[in-house]
Amino acid sequence: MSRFLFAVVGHVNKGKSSIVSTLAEDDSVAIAREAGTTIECREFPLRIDGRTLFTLIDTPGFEQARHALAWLREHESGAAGRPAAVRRFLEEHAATGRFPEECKLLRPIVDGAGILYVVDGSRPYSPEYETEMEILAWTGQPRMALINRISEADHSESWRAALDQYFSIVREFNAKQAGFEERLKLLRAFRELREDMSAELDEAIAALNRERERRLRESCRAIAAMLADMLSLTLVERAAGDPTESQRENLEKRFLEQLRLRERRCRDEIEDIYQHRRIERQEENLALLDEDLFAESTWLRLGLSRNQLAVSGMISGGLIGGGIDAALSGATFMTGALVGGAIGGVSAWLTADALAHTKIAGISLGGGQLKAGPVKNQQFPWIALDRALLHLNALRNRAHACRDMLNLAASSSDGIVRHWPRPVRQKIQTQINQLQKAHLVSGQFPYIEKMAIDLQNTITELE
Amino acid sequence: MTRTSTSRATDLAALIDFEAIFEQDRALDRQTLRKRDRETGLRIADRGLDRREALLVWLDERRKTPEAAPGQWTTQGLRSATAILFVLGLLSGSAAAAGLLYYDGAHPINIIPWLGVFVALQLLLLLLSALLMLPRFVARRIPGMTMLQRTLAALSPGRWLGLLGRLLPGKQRNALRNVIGRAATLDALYGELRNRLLLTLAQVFGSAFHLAAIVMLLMLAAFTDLAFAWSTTLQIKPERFQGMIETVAAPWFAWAPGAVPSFDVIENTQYYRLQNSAAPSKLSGASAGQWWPFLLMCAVVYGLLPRIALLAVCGLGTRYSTRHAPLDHAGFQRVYERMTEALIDARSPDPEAAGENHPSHQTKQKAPLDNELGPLTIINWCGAGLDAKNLKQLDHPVSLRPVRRVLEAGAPDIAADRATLDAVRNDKQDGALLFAVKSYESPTRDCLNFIAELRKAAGPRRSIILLPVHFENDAFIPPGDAEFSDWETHALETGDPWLRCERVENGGAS
Ligand SMILES: Nc1nc2c(ncn2[C@@H]2O[C@H](COP(=O)(O)OP(=O)(O)O)[C@@H](O)[C@H]2O)c(=O)[nH]1
Ligand SMILES: [Mg+2]
Repeated sequence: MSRFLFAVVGHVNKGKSSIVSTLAEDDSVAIAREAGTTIECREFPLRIDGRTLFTLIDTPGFEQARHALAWLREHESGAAGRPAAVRRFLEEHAATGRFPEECKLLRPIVDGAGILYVVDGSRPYSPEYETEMEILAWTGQPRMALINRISEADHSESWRAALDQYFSIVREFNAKQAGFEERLKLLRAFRELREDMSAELDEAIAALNRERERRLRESCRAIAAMLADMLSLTLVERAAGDPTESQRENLEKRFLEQLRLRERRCRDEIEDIYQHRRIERQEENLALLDEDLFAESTWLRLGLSRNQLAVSGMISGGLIGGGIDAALSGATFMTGALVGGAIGGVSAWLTADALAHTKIAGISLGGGQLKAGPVKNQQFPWIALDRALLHLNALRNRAHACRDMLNLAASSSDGIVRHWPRPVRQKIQTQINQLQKAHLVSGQFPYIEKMAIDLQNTITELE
Repeated sequence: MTRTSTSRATDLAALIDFEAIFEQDRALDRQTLRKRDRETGLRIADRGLDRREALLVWLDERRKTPEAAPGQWTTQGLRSATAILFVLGLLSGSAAAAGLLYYDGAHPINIIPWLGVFVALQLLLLLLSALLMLPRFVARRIPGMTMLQRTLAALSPGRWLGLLGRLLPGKQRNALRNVIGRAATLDALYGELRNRLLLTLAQVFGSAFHLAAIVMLLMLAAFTDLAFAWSTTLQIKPERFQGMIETVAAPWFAWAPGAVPSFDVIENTQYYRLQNSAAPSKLSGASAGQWWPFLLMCAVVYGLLPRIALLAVCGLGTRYSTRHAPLDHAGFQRVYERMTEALIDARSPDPEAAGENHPSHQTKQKAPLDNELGPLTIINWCGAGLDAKNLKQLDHPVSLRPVRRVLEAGAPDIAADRATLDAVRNDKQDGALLFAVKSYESPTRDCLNFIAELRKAAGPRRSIILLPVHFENDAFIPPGDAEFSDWETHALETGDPWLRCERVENGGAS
């Protein structure tokens, strides 16, 4: 464990766990309205490649500060002996069990942790808190106060006057709303508190910046891959005769379901990238815009489409050709086969239609085939992209203490892509076109990459 | 043991393994992959390797299990295929030569089929091979080439597998489809390499074929007495035929004139099957045997040499393109990023050990407030600020009660608590105790302990009403649901039947 510790302490239910959750990007932290949710200290070491730079410690809140302070005062031996008194307090009450919370929260401080004292700035200051501040002062450790605002009202000013008496640094930090920049600002404030660890904090800040960039890159790739998959999705439904209306409906439903499934996968991936694994999401369902999804063709009992049949014709022809090839000269594998294959293929293609409508012993050899997709609508990829970007944007700015439902209802935002400058939109449009054209997955590869890079650059530049 | 240098060359097996591992990695989650690859990256961080070398080290570490190294057996298979093709080439070459040079002593051997196979067909095949080897961007510009390529694609093993898959049961078919999908992806990346490999194999077969044919010709010429003739259904004059022969022999005309038959020989060996017996005298034994050097040179120049040249070009080309494969598609990029980018994690390694969640109490059917509460004693906890005056504001039955006295507790000075408790203990009257707390503060152990003390001081049956309040600038702010239920829960948990938590919905008219 690193020698650099920060203990997050304060009265019960003032947002200690929330602040830790946000700073450590850990959404496993229990945050609850009820008091006494945190019953044990929990360590959050910031590790870079496994090397701990510093450790945040979430603690249970003060529960009996008055009595603890009274005990300390009784056992004080001059101002210089105050930290020693705190140590004695721990020794003595580890056994009596009379101050379980105070013992747990003071332990890391006595071990050298810097103090982050959390208060709720949305409630009026009251002098009872001074007992807590006093105890913290007795430990003699460097102290910073964080004014968290749990609700709307603002009483920070009344707090500041008192906090300034006890803490060398007083900052506002809103656990549930703090974005990346606020978090970095707080880390910089840590530097002032503990000048001896500025190297570690600088390293952490640099690493966090890189990580943010990495996450954005990964997310843009996930979004581009999703678009590619959506734009190349096709589904095929077969019928003995011509496809019926209900088959159309059914196919459209399945098609839409697949699109939505793919979209959800992308959402999950991005939430995973940002370490928001427990988010509840609310989002309007992806819809298809008014358009004709379907193409009809014929299929054959062999299970081959006309084109596939042509290919198989080529192959059987090719086998004959291959025989000739080997017997005569075997010059290349394929050249002989090519000639035979071409002949076989053409004849198979020509007879496909006739076969489709033939019956042998009452079993039809083929019938109608209904194909849904790929989506050709020009608007669709932009909508899918916009939805993904809204989600990404929300996640990038979401504090890990925030446990509210993530509401992505379209009505709550007017979109992202429409605010992009025209050249950017054109660039992305080019890639969308390429993705639509290259319906083979292999063909999409380079455009996915290109689009991901463009998305990332755009987001970074417009930030 | 430290490796001092890392090979920078990739072979076919390496490329196959890279792709196979990328494929397997798709089943693993991001975090696992990052951790695994970063570990590799850190291990080699101080060796100063460049990207390519680093990727190769990564590959080495990954392919320790046989499933992760299909490249090995693929290249072995390729080697066996090469050997088999070589043998097949030898067999079919000698068979073809033996057939074409079949001499029963009665009819001379017609050289025309030999020329057909070893000159005309070879020229055609060479042409097609050349077309196949055209790089894609050139091919796209030549009309008809795309059609040819599409036909080629139709012959690719991926398609064959696809057809085969239709015979399989659903699950296996799906697995196969995935493989094919991946193969199609790889096709875009390694298609040219694969074509070149196939061409190389074809050249192995071709070279063996010609080699065997040539050896067969030499052996037959050395150990038997062959009689050659030329004969076509077309009416060709010996003069014209000589011209054609000289054209064919042009490549070696200058330096091996012995391998070009003279006009005499040509004229003497024209042969009419029907007039077989009519002109036997013309077919002199000596000139009939003189054809073989020419036939030999045909097989060497039009058959063997181009095959060997192509073999060399394809073989070297394949090796070059595998050795220097750029390792630059997205899969490689991601691995390299994972190796070089630091893992950062600030989350707790320990599982959350959250306190027991208070079971949400169904709000018990509360008895109506006892009218015999008597005059109230208000006890403010931590300066909750309730007094006789603002109590009247509250929209709650207790506001109608007279207030006898107001006490304080929970202040920094503990002695004040004791005074309050004493006052309650010594109070001989029976009025209810109104314990006011700040609704926005959570119940602390300190507060709950005090309530227990208060119960002792008040006696077991005296009503204690817990009232969460919030006054700001003398205005009452009703408690939120969560705030109230936090207090209510704790009140219920005491199990004290005479302790009840009351909610004030609003401040009424103020
Ligand atoms: N709106 C809002 N609520 C907060 C904030 N910080 C904490 N809370 C809420 O305050 C309550 C207590 O938070 P928690 O972090 O568990 O406090 P702790 O007991 O000090 O650890 C929870 O219901 C949180 O949702 C904040 O910044 N904004
Ligand atoms: Mg907590």
